[in-house]
Amino acid sequence: MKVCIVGDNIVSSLGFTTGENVAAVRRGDSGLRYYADRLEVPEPFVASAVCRERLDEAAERLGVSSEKYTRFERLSIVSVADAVAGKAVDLLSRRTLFVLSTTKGNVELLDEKLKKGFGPERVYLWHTARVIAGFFGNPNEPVVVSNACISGVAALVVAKRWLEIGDYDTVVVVGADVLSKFVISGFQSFKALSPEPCRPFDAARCGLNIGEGAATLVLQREEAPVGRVMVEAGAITNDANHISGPSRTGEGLFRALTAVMQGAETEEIGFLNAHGTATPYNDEMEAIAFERAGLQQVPVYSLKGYFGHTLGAAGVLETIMAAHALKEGFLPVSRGYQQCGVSRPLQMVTEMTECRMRQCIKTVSGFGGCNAAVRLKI
Amino acid sequence: MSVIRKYCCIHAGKCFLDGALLFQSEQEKAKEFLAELYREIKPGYPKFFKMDVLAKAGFLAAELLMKGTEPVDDRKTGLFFANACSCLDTDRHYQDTIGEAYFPSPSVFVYTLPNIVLGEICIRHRIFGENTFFVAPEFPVSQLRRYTEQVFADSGLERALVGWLECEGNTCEVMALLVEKQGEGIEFTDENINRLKR
Amino acid sequence: MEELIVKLKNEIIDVLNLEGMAPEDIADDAPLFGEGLGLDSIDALELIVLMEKNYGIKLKDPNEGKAIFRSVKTMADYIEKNRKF
Repeated sequence: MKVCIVGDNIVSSLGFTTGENVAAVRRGDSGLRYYADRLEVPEPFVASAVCRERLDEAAERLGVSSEKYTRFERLSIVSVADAVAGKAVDLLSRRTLFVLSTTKGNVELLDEKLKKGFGPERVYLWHTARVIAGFFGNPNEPVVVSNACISGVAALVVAKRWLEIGDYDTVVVVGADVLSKFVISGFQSFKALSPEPCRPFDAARCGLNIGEGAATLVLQREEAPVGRVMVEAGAITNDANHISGPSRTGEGLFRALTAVMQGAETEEIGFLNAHGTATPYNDEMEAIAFERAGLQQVPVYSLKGYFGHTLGAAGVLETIMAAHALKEGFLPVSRGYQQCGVSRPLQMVTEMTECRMRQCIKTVSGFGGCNAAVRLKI
Repeated sequence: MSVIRKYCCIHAGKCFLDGALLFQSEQEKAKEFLAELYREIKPGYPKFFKMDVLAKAGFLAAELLMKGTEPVDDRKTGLFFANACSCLDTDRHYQDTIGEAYFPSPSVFVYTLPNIVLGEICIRHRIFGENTFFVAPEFPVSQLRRYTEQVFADSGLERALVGWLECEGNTCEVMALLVEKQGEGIEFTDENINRLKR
Repeated sequence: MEELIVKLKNEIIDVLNLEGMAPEDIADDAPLFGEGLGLDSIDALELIVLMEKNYGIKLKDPNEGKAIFRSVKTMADYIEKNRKF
């Protein structure tokens, strides 16, 4: 039995369906924009924001009003609804589980000015997860994974395990986070934001951009999948080094890569979709880990130049993009990259390339020293 | 059959190890009580005082559980914890730094992720294995137990710290278990975990 | 200057939660980072906030901090010259 992707959706600055997002990335469009005077953040910032009008429209169609549902919940619900549309998925079943991946959920409700009519319980992640799963009438208590920037891939690993345990036939993994004063100001206080569109792995990189979005993966176990992208292996590790600084040796990521490479040959890996946040230390750490894992010849790209860092959505969103890259056979340009800025040379993708590939690896790393990787196969 | 090797319960005012009262005090505020507990068990780790209450609670529970245990391969230990409020107290604290007086605090912000406590424990005990933080309305005993068993079965993990780490307001409620894939100890079952809770 | 140094030491102990430390435990010219007090990158960022909040000094580039935060003495010198209040 294989864990397969049977449905997906991405809602981001680049579109409201996976198709729109894939097409935008293929064209080389970026959703990153310069914002001054937004979210009451005193310093301007570059970020990737979901179009408000389109979200209102899409949510309206589903009857998800902004009086009853927060922006975070509306994004998530719109994403799940599209991911399951037309699929043989029974969301009302006890054998379907929701897994929510988020870092901050409805944290903006802590701001008195943004609280509106929402009750104090709404900031609890388990509560907002119930609202989302409840909208679809799912009878199970949703699982919430909150593991910083690796949440999305961690949620996918968790989902895979629950399918393998056998209690569920379908797991819906939804990853989401929204732009907020809370998150932007926090990363600014870390001096981690780039004042310009980010440049992963480039010599002139100087920080990340925050993005928002929701992404949904619908997973099922299939006996003999045909044309499906399968989640072959997944691993979560820790650097045991520092709570905010990436490991200088890439220890955790190296170990995660070693774990997911078990049972695969390097030559079979078509590409690595790196985390590639474009902070000086993160990208350097990744380059070291890739080399240590013997993957330095594998083409690498980061999607942060298109979507920014979408936090709890990132691992899900980027895994979906990787799955479609395998399915359609293309390598997107690692946007923002011009000249190598890490100590270990990588095979950065600098031109949009069409090619057939069977397998790929998606990695993420985050605060708390955590790392995660999944290997996908078609 | 996996086993519970040691278990630890901490509430403001009392700390139990393997069912026996280890330390108690009049102090009923979590932050102050955890500082007293720290002084009692003397880990010699000044970074403790930089942590938020959630990380302090998890750190001390791990300290008590890992003390005196024989080292295993560092790849083979994992951490699986859950709570209901994530890190909301620290979120509220951070929110206060970005109001009218706008001075966002990086040292507060870094703790506005519930998995930071897992990072602190990993650093302290050189744990490189899987570390996952769940949020649930109440201690998801069965879910955490079955998930841990599955990780033991599919990943080569042999030991895990598992439990509930809820800290909100002045209260804290910790139930942490040192679980091993095999060996001597209390059978790792839902009934036993529920029975050992205080 | 002497007064500023003592004030600064108290502020540092307070914002960085240096438990059990008293101002007299920090020598004026002892290194704050690395071998000295053992402060790390988050502490450095927090010192940047302290400079802005308590003295109105904005450091744009965190790399500037390296020289300024070498010791309490170097910090006090910089504050003396650049403080807004």
